[in-house]
Amino acid sequence: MNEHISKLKKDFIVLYLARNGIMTFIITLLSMSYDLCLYYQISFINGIEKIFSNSIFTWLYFMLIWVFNYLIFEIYKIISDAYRNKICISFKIKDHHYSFYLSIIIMIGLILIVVMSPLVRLFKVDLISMFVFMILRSFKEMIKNRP
Amino acid sequence: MNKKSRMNLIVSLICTCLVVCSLYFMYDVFSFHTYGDIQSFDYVLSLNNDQIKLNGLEVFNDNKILKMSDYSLSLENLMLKEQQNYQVIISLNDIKNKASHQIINQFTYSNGQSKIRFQQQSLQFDITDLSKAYIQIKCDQEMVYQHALNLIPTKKLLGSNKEYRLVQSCVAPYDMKLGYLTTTNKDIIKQYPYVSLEYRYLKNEKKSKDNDNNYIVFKKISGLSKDIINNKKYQYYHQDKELGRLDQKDLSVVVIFSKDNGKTFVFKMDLSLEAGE
Repeated sequence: MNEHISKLKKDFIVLYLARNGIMTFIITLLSMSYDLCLYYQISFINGIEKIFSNSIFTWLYFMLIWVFNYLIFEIYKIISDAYRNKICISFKIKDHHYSFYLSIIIMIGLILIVVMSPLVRLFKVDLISMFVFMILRSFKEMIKNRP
Repeated sequence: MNKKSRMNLIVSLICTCLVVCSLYFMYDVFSFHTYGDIQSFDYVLSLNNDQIKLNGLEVFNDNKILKMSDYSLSLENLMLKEQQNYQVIISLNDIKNKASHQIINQFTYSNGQSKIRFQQQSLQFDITDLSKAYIQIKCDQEMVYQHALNLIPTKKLLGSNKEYRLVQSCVAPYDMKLGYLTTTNKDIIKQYPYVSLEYRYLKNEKKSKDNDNNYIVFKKISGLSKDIINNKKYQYYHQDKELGRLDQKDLSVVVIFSKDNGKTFVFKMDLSLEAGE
């Protein structure tokens, strides 16, 4: 019984460790498929299918964007964890302590820059999704490290 | 920041720079292969009964313009009058968008004329979908014949290698839209002024595919490279029914670029049906 439980735990640990890879894979899939479904006026599922069935260059580029997403998320994680104390603003409202991460404001600023930049639609959608994901991670860290 | 984090950050930054460079340089090839022509529908209209035979009329939407291929009409059994003007009206109905369009062609019937041929046309109709089609033959507003047409959806063909792609090519059981060749290599037109595309299919599946004699070339398009490459000129091919179904054959195209001094650059592309068809 104990072996069974520890075996399940090991399986879940693998998923947990790979969670960033899985999340960035899903984000890449959703952004590329959204871009294709807007261009070809087809449904979302057909967009996903088109990524893999169209041509080898399409899914090679998909892998490249997935790696890019994973790397920028790693960079964000390293910088955010290293400067956590410096970018945290603590304030008090009615006897409750709140802390707010400056990085969220920086990410919102970056989202606005991407929206107004002349990038191709695929990269705009992908970068905006990644920045939203980073903001969500900041919120998670904020809630986890509540004083 | 501690030393370990700093090392991780530097490695991640270097990898990100490499990936960004790859994304930038590969973008042209990726968009060439991914963002192709948008096509809303492509059907072959046909009718085969005792009175009338309409074969190989392909209709499709190309960037808000309705394109019709060349086609032939056999009206021997319709008892038409000699030297009379007749109108052939092809109606295309889009039930979903409640739209209907008519294409009118004229011909003068003369005895002994077995087939009437019509040329390909482009019309400014923006039809996004086709549900029904009819043919009507009138003489001075009087209806001579009308019937519904069969709609056969065509199957899209894909043929590409890294720099070249055959676009807008479709196949139906006995008809084929030949498509046109596009490329990212802009210098090829200057280097090789003449090009010839040979569309062929495998004669005998049991024999070797590498043997060029094992193929039947059914259509050859030749001309100047600047007129043919990246140019939307549509050509069509209609197969005789005795030669077998075109969509069940192993199709490929051989592209031959040539210069005045006789030097050639040849490659072939296999044409495969799009996934899911």
